[in-house]
Amino acid sequence: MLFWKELKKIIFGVPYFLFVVMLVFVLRSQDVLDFSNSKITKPEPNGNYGTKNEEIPEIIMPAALQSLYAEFQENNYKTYPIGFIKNVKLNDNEQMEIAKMISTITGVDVDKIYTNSSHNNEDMTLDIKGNADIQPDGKGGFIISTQNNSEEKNEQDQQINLTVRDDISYSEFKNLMQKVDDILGGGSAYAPESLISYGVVSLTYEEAVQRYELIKSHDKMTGGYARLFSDYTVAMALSILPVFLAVTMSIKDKRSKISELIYTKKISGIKIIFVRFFATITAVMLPVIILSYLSNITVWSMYKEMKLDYLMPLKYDFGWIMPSAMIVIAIGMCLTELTNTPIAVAVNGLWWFLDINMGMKSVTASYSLFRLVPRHNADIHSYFRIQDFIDNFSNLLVNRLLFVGLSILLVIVTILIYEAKRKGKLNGNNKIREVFTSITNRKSQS
Amino acid sequence: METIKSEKYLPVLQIAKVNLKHNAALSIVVSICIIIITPIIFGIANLNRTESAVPLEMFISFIGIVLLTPIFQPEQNNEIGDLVSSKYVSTNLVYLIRTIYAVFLSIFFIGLFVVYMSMQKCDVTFLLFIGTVGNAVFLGSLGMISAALTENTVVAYMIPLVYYMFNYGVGSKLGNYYLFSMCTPDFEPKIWLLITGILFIFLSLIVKKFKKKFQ
Amino acid sequence: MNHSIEIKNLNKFYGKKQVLFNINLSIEQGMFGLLGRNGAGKTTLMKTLATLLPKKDGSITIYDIPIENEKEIRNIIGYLPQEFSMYPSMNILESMDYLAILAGLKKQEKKERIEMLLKKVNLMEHKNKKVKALSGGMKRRLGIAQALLNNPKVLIVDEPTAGLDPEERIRFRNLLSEISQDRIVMLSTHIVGDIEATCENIAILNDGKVLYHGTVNNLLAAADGKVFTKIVSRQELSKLKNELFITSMHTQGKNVYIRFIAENEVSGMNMCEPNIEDAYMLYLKENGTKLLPLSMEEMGGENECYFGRN
Repeated sequence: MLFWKELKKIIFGVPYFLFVVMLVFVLRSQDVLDFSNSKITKPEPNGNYGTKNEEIPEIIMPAALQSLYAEFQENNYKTYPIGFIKNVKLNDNEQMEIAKMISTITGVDVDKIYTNSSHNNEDMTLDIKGNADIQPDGKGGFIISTQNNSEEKNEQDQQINLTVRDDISYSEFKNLMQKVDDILGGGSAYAPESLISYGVVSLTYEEAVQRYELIKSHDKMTGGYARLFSDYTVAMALSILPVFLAVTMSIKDKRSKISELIYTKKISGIKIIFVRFFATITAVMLPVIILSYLSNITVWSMYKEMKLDYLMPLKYDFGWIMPSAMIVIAIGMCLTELTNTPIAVAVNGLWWFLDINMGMKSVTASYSLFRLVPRHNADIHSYFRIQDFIDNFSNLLVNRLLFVGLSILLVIVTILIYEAKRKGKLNGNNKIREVFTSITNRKSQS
Repeated sequence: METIKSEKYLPVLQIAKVNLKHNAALSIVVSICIIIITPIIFGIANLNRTESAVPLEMFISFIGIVLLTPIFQPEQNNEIGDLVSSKYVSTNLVYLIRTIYAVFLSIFFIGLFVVYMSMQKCDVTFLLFIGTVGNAVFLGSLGMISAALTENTVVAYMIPLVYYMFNYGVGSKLGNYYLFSMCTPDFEPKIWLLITGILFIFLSLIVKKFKKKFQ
Repeated sequence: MNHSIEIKNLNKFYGKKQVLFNINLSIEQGMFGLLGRNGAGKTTLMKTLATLLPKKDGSITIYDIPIENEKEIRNIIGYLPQEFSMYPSMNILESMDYLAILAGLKKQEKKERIEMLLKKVNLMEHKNKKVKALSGGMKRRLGIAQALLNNPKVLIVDEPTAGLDPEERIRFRNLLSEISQDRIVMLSTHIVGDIEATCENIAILNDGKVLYHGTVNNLLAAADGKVFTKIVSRQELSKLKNELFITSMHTQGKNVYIRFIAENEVSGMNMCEPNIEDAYMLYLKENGTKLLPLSMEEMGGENECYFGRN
């Protein structure tokens, strides 16, 4: 059968070998193949249950104000428009605008605030430079912590007392912060949807118990582990590596000069392309399914008395992981069929790079519509984030269905390209190459 | 009848010129794209030293893969390979010429970007520049050695990219071969990357030279 | 100086499989034909001479230069592989120019030589065409032109006429003959007609061994008196096919005109002059090569007889 032949062709190739090695290696290095040290226990009273972010104006407003004032003083604002840090330096007019905003919030005179800023004092910014510390957080993002000594400076440099006015409402505050974010060009922590990051509160015992019950009833204890496994599998492997398999497979006919031979055979383009598509998916998912069970099995013995869901890994394999693999394979097949070059590696690589570096700006962004890599990762808290998952489940569902649909659409486009090439109608390769060579020729002649 | 010319001149520059036009043009265009794209993805204004390392290490380094990996590719087509390798000028010399200009182009493009960054008031230093070159040369050399050993274009690109991804996942556990060390900031690994990269490049040229003998 | 190629006790292996067995050949100036079936080892021998494959043992010298001296050898040889192509973005002129640089030609010399050669092979007016857009004949001619860039003392041409139409083939043979005036031109072919038309000296290679090495005339002489013709009906033919060693056949209406080799007389046959095809087949047969009987479909044109059936 054609399917098995195509599957064999993939599985016995060097790229597949590298794929499996990389998959195992990465998952091992992220410690998601063995969860036996990560038991979820029932919370005891008077413990520390971690923190959570909540939209509590009384906490958010002062914290945000303090941070804004510190950045204002240094005239060095950190924003993350795409995922990477962007240091924004404002001109005098814009600084004045920020000063007005701070004045509105605090009731302190604008001039007083403005003269205390470092718009004419470059040394202060230089002080901070060199103290910033960027550490990879091990999950595809970077933690950038600035050793902030602005509090000391506040005390030394000025005596003005900044507190949020009592009569300012949270919605007014949010509006002002939106303006700040606009001046900064977006992507700052002051954007209303990001303000919640200032609302850090400790979890109470009751909340911790509630959370535990939810894990028991909804996650059947196994779900959290499956989610963390899925998070890393997609982020570090399945959102990029399958493209190599797809490109290799699609380019092989041309390289071994048998594409024309196959063109003249009876088989329809629909069949050959779909069979190859499913063969690649099968090859990709096979080790993933095996590893997901090897990983999940390590927790089963920890919860002997409880009702577990033994199909949990499978649900996540197909529901969470596979759509990413599908879209990546479809891109690889489509672009390779179109151009006969491995350009899909670059295209998919760039998408992966951008997506992965968006990191986990917020829980909602982790599941947003076009995320190639849905994120659900908060180190040891990952297992406890069932409420976030439930809240965003419909987003995830739409995102995953979208990618399944898109990948099938791309496969259909691939079939159309294949059939057109078969009839000699489209020689995309030549056209693209010719355009390109004519450009380079022109360049070298001038 | 002519007598045998035992001493012919080696037209290094001419070989470089033709190869730049016909075999490196695509790589050069992609490299320029990388340079253009970087400021769009990353903010590159007013960055301090460690922040400057981020776009350099994480993105500009790709230039090395783009320029060095396809060094052996044109002659991987046996029909071309047989034709050119029967000529007086050894194909190994052609590979060497391509490698040298690819390394110089990498240095040039990285340098260009570093200058641009410093114009954007980033605190870029010569060490950052050298470190980025080390990254690029190492990643590119991984591509070259994979290409020399497997003669498979896709695998040749896959290995350096997989190594790059690996750095995302495993992070600084890779010690002296950690690609993003300048963000920490630690410059020592760059020396190792650069030296290993140069070593790999020579190794891949040697592999290419001797592979024929063991057919 | 010894104007010849001397091959002594050459053995060649692909992994553990031996593909050339103790080859001894001495090739003088002029056209030299290497005849053999597909897979006989012709391309391997030619690639070895073109320094593209290392040899296992034995010795090869070309114009007294040992083959190990790759640089000097490459300086005096021109090689045209059976299948060749050029970087996809290059046109004829750019290809010639680059290959001339690789051949070590100096700037002025290069320009003159390219122009002269392109004129010689009638490609001057196509000089801006992409190599991959060329017809089979044009591509061959470009191949010859590039192989002559360094004015080689030895031209090695692998299966030069494969895939050419009869007219192109004749033109190509003439070109080769012309070129062979003052050098060695070594061509391999499985088309006997090529050899007949051009070569004086030949070698027959079979399963990696030299079966015959000498002049065409001597080969023909060995077949003298052993080649016969007969006109038979189609019914007779199917019976005779197993009894006679048929070298060629042509249909004439309901009958078939056959040529065959025989030691003893068959009723109604006429003795005829052997041609090189007959002699070659006889030689293969006498040296124990298993040849399958020909079928009608397998017969080619008059000058073209393919030997490739194992």
